[in-house]
Amino acid sequence: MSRGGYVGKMLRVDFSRSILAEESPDPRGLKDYIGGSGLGAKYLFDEVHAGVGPFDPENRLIFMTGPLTGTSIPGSGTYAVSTRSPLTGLAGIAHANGFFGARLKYSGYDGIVLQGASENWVYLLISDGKAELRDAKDLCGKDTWETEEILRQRHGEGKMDLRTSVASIGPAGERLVRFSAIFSDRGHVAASGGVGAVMGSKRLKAIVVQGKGGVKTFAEKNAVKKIVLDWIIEARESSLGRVISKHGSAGLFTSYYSRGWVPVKNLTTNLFPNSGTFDGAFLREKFFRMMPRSCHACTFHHCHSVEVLEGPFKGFIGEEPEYEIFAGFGPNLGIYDPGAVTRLNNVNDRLGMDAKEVAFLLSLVMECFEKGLLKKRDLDGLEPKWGDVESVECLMKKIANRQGIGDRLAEGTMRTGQWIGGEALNMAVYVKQGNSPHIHDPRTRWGTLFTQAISNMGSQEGIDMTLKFSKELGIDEPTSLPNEMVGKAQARTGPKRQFEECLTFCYYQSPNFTTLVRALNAITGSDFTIDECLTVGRRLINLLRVFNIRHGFTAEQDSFSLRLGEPPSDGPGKGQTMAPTYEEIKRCYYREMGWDEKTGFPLPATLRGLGLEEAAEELSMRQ
Amino acid sequence: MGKGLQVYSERCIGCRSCEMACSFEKEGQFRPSLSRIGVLISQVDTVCFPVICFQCRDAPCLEACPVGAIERDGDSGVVRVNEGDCTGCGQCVSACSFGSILFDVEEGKAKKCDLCEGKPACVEFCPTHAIAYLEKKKPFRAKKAESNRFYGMLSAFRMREQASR
Repeated sequence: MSRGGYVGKMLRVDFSRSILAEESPDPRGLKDYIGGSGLGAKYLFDEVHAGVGPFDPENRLIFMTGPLTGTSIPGSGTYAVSTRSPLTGLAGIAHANGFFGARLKYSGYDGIVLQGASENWVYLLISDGKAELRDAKDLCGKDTWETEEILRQRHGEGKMDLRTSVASIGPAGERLVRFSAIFSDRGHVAASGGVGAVMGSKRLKAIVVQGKGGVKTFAEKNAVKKIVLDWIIEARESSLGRVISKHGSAGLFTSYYSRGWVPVKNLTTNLFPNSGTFDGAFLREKFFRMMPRSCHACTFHHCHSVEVLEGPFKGFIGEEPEYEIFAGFGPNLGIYDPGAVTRLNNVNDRLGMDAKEVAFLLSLVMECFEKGLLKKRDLDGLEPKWGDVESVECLMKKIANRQGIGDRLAEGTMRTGQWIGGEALNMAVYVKQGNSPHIHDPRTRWGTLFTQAISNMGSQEGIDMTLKFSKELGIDEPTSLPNEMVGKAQARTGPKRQFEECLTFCYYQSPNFTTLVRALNAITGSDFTIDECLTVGRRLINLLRVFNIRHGFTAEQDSFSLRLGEPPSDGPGKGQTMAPTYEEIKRCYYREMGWDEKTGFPLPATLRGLGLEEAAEELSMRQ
Repeated sequence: MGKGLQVYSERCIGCRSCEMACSFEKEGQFRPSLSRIGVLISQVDTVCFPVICFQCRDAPCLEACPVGAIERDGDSGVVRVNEGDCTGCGQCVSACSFGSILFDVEEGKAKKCDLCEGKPACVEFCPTHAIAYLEKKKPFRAKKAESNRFYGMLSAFRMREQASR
């Protein structure tokens, strides 16, 4: 095992004792969980015991790469961050693209386990296998872009991007805003689960990685090259790849709108005027000046910096927003100018928050203001009407700095609904683990809604199959209706996607399953079969579920808020809903996973079959 | 005239696939610090530019080598380091204005682009065809290029990068 792909070293930092130590990853762990989300979850399971709160020093924050990270595999600069989430109280795992993951490996480590809490603000510098903590007093209060720029300059990059990457938190993370994210390579975000807040609770402002190391492969050169070239072609020719490689994720906007999947005004409607202004082709050809800013070994025309060429924000330069941001900070807030969205995206990135939570939080505030549940005096004198860009920006800053009303809102969408009270909680868009979902109107996108309703890591666990099918996973036709097939599809796509998350590469760069397995085997020298890979994914899902049960999870949390169950009142999805059949779908899913149909707890035989003896024992002690 | 690398920088997206391909082809590992080709990326205006070896006709690296370890291949025009003869003095590294000579600190040897025996890996892996392998119309002369503003800038940037390596 582990003859290629891995560096073979982990860095452990205990801030409370100022100890930085090297350790080797457990070979059994590498075999069972491979890397990325999998090893992150394994560290969580082994080290974050019952009663350890998300902001307690004993919580862990794990940065993890995988065996393919830092190779020629497209989009393999990705890393995974795992922790006990302050937003949900359960496992929270987030991935970020860019270069950071690759450069972490070149700096000499497969991953970093962070524990304890520092007394003063520090940053972690890892340079060619040497790690040290440095004083970060002067970086406090700086936004994520400033922090990155200062640290790059300080550590030899000047105004260039040469071989250094920085992952940092903004003011939001410093002030423990529950949905703070970690930002790296300017605009690449480990968004979900409030991972940035946990970093802030450890008083770690940033991590700098640089190094001259590399990644060796087990198989010989030409074999690896052939597999990488196959991967590149297959990823580009996949249904998602064809769109993303040309127009970025905004290329999805028009088709999603035509299905009623774009959230408008906190899901109160599915229609808005001039939806063509968000069309991916229009934006790239007419609305923006495009400047490429690719991720590690990416073969797509995806990530760009852009200059706005039209409208009130003409001349503004920022990162090109992704589809979800266009939807979330656009029509979802009643804002119909892509230039304004570009500006808000930049403000939010710099402050350091997860756009999912911010989007559905602010749309809730705006709907409550419209309906009189929140008054001007509740909102520090602000009047956030739909489409009011200035109020949105002002609220974002208040949240990140926990000023005035921002201190309340910094707790997230669900808690804000509870605080406002009355109808507000019914209007809020969240799943019952306690986080807002990815920025779609998922009410008629069955797989997207279901996979987040039952998610074990606060993000999309499986793959939406509303329009797709997959012969290799035994899903013969699209799950176009909200029936048991949605549960079955989740039980089959979940393990696959979670296996991919163990390898850490960009989701948009997925090749055929066989190519994935060939690449893993060629690079590491192992001999996984497709079934064994699915077992890795299934093992990860089960491990996370037992971890969540340890931290208070119950089956009632496998659900979604009232608003997400309401049928759309207009548009293409009018009248359709998953709410009446949801319990049935959920039972079917539990059955397929080998879990108790009522409690959603994994059955002992299921856990033992996956080699999770310890987890089985823990569950039996509990019952 | 033989074939050589041609850069179309307006197509470069800064993914560094060429660095991966080069280091893997030459060193058997994905290790950008040992790549013969390097991509310059400016944070200021997001400009990216692959820096190649031009296989100069008046190769300053060749002239600077005190032991004659650098030679020109007559037919292809490729300027090659004979690693067996290289003493690791680093003269060639200083002599090249474009920073195209790699110094492998671990091995103590100078290394450079040899166009992969006519099948450059960087060209094969560039997703946007920003690097091409074409018949050359006229030879590249380092002395002439140094006075050119563009190459002057390139040279200055590349010096910085080398200093950080």
